[in-house]
Amino acid sequence: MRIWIIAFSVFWSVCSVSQTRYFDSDPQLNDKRLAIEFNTELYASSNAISNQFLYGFISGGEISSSTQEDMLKNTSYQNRLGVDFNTGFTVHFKPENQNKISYSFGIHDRQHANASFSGNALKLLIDGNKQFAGEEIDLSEFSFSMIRYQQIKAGISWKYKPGKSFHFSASFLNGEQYQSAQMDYLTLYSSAYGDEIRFNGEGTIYQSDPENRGFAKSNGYGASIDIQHDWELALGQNQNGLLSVALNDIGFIAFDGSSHKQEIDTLYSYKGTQLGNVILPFDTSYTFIGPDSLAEDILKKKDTTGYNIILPGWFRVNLYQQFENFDVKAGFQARFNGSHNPYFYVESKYFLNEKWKLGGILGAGGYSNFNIGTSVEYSTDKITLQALSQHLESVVVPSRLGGLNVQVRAIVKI
Amino acid sequence: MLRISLYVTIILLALTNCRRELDAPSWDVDGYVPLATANLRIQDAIDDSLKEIGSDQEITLIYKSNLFEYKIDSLIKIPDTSRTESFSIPIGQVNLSPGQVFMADTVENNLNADNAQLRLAIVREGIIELELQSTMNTPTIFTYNIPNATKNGVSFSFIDTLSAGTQQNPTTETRRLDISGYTIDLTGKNNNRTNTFYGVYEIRTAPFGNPITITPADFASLTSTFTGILPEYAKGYFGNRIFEINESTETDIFRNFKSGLLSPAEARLNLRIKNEAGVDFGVDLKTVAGVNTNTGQSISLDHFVTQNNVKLSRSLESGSGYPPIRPSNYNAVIDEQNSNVTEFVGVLPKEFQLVGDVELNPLGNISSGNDFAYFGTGFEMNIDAEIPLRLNAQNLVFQDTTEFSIDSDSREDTKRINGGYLLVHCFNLYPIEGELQGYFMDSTNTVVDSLFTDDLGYLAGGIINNGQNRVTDKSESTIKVPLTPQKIDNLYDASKIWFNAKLNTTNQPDSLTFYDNYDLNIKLVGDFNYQLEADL
Repeated sequence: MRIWIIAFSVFWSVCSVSQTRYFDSDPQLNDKRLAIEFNTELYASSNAISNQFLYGFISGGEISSSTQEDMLKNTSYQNRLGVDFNTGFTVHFKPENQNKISYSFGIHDRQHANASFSGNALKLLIDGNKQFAGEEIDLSEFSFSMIRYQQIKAGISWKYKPGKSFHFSASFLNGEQYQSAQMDYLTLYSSAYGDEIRFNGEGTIYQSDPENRGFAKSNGYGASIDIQHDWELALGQNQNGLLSVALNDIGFIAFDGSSHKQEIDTLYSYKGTQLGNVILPFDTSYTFIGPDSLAEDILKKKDTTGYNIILPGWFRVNLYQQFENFDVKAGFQARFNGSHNPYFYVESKYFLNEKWKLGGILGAGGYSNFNIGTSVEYSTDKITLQALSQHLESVVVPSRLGGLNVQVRAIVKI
Repeated sequence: MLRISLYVTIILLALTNCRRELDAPSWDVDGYVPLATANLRIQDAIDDSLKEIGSDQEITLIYKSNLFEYKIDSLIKIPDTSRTESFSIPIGQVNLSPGQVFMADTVENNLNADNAQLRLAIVREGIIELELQSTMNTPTIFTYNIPNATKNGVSFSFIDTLSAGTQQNPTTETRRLDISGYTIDLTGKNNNRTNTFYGVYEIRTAPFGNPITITPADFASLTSTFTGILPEYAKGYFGNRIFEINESTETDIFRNFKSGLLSPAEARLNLRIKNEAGVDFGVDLKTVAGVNTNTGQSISLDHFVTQNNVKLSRSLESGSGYPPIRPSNYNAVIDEQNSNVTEFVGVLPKEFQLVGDVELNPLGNISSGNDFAYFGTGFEMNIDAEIPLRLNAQNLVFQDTTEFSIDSDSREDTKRINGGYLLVHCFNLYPIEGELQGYFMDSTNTVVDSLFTDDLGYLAGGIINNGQNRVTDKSESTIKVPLTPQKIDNLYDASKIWFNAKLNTTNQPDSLTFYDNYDLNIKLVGDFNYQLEADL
C-alpha cells in the first residue's frame, strides 16, 4: 500500500511554506536613512486540498473519512497545490546626502512546493484503488516539486527621473534541498478481481541528498535577480498613484553530484507472489515481498548526478491609487515553472485614522479558484506593522475549500 | 468560533514548525492488493511416470509394480563341505625311496544340496581350498584331480610339491583354487548318485629327494574344502516344497489423496506371473488387499485369481539367448467386469498386501530329475494398473503443506490494516465442488489459526457442457475470509500453511472424465481497509 505514498505523499514532504505576494515594495525611507525589516509569510492554497484535510495533515494523527469524502467532492480533472513559506530580514539604507538611491541587504529562508495532479490521482491517494477496480485510470501530467534555499540578497533602488524609479537586486542562493517528481505519462490499472495492478509510466524523480537536510545545509549553489520599475501616477490632487512592473526570483540553482536522479520508464504488472502449482512439491518455500521491494522494481534506473533547476519566478503588474480616505490596489501575477494560474486581485484599505488602515482583498486564480482576504496596518514615522490574511473563504467552508495565508511585516525606521 | 480556532491552529502549527513532534498524519483507504496466484493441477501431483495423456487429453493412471519374486539360486544352496585324507604308519619303520607313491585313492564328496537332488552344476563362483601337510624329511608331491569337473574340456587337476618337514615342524601349505566356470557331474563315480562328485589323489616322495625312513610319528595329509559354491546352472530334482508369501508393497499413486472415496468408472489390473525356472509352480493367492494406511481402510480383491490355485508350468530350456529359456507366463486381467477392482482402487490404497503360498513341483518329480535353473532367474509376480480418470469422488480429501515467509517490511505495512477480507477467487475447470480450509502452523507444526473461522470456503465445480460431457467453462467462486488484526498476527507467526480440500464430483453418482487441460486457478487478493500513513 505504501506504493501510493511513494508516488504521492511527496505532496506533503514540506513542513512549512512560503511566498512574497503583497509586501514586495521597498519601505519608504522618506527622511530616514535606515530601516530594518522583518517579514514572514505563510501561504498554502489548492483548488482540491481542503483546509480540514490540511489541518489534519499538519496536526498529525488520523484524518476522518468524512474529511476525505468532503474534500473529494471538490476535485477537478486537473488540480493544483502551492505552498510557500518565506522568512527574512532586510536592511534598507540611504547614504548621506543622497535621496535618489537607496541600498538594501537581506537574508531570507525560502521554501516552495508545487504540485499538479489529476482528480483520479487524488482519489487514488485519498480513497485507494478499490474504487477503480476494472478500470485503467490516467494519472498523467502529475508533477510535484519542492525546493528550499537560503538567499543572501543585495539591492539598489534608483529614482532616476521624477516619478520613475528602478529597483534591482541580485542574490546568492544556497540550495538546501530539492525534490521533484514529473510523470509525463502514468496510468494505473486495477483488475476487477483485484488480482493485478499494472503501472505504465514514464517520468523522472529528482532528489537532493536526503541525508544532508536542514537550515543552511548545502547541496548546491545558484543566483537570482529581481527587477522592478515604478511609474508614479497622479490622477488628481493629493491622490498618489503608482504603476509597478516586476520580475522576481529569476534565477537558478545547480545541485551537486550527491543529488539523485531516478528515471521511471516502465510497464509493470504485479499479480502477487506466483505460487505455481502449490500441490506439486512438498515443503516448497515462498516469500511474499513488501511494497518497498515493489517500488524498487518499478524504479528501473537510478543515477547519481548533479542537475540545474530554474526557480519559480514571478511576473507582477500592480496598480495603486490613493484617495482621500482609502486606497485601491489592483494587480496581476503570474508564476513561471509551476501549476499556478494567472492571478488577479483587488485590494482596498480604509484609513481609520493617521495610523491605522483596514483593508479587504478579493482575488481570482492562483492555486485556488478565488480568494477573500483582509489586512491591517499600523504606521508611524518610525514603525510600520502590517498583517494580512487571505483565503478566509476556506475558514468558512473548511471541509470543501482549501487555502490559508498569513503575512506579517515589521519595519523599524531609524 | 470553532472554524476560527481551527484556522489559527493551522497557522500556528505551520509557523512553529512543530508538526515533527506530532504523530504522522494518516487516513483510511480501501484497496485491492494482489497477494498471490496459484494454479492447481491435481494431475500434476501424479508423477509423469504414473500417468498417460490420451489424444483427447484424457488422463489414465499407469502403475507397474513388482509384488513378489523368488530367485531360484536362493532355492538351491550348496553348503561348504570339507574332507581330509591322511597317511601314517601304525608301528615300526618304513623306508621310502625317491619317487615312491605312498598314498593314493578315489573318494566321493557329497555336497548336501538343500532338499535338492542335483545331477549337474555349473559353478558361477566357488573355491577349492587345499591344505597340504607333511613331516617327511624329503620333498613330497601332492596330486588332486576331479575327473568329472571340466572347464573347456579339461578336467580339474592339481599338483604341488611340498618341501621337506620334520616331526617337530611339519611343512604346511594352503592353496585356494578358483573353480568358477567348471561343470561338475554330480552323479558320482558310477553315475548313479546325486549331489556327489569324486576326486582322485596321490602323495609321493619327490624323485629328486633322498631315501627316507618314516616312523608312526610321521604323516602326510590333504584336506579339501569346497567353499562359496554358487551355481550358475543346476539340474536335477529340486524337490517338493511350499514357500509362504506375506509381502507388502507401498505405492505412491495416490500419495496426495489422504482420505475419501474415489469411484472410478473403470479400472484394469493385469496380474502377471512369470516362471523362468525349469520347475513347476503352484500359486495359491489367498489375499490381495489394498490398504489405505491413512484411513485404515482395507479391501480385498475379489477375483478368480484370489479364489483358485494357479498352476504355472516350467519354462523350456531352448533358444539362443542367455539364459536359453522360454519362460512360462500366467496373465490375469482384472477389471470391473470380473472383479471388485473399482472398489479396490477407490480406497486410495497406499499399500498392496499379498498373502499366499507358492508350491515347488506340486506334482512331484515328473521331470525325472530334469528340473533346471539358471542363476538370476526364478519366479515373479507383477501388477500393471491402468485407471482412466473417469470417476466420481465423494469427500475426497486432498492435503498439502507449503512453507512460506513474509518479509519484515510487509509486516510493518500490514500492521496498518484496519480490517477487510482476504478474497480467494477460484476459477475452476474441474467438475469438482468442495470445501476448502487452510491452517496456519508454526515451526513446531502447531496449528495457530485457520483460514476460515466459522464456515469452510465453498468451491464451485466447473460447468459441464452436457453435449460434450466435459467442462468447457470455468466456474467462478469467491471466498471471503474476514481479516482481523489478530488473524494477521497469527499469519505472521505461522511458517507453514496446510491446505485441506474436501472434494466431490459435481454430478455424482455419474462418472466424469478428467482431462489434462483442467485446472483450478486461485487468486489471493487483499480487500483491505488500510491506514495510509504519510511517511515524512
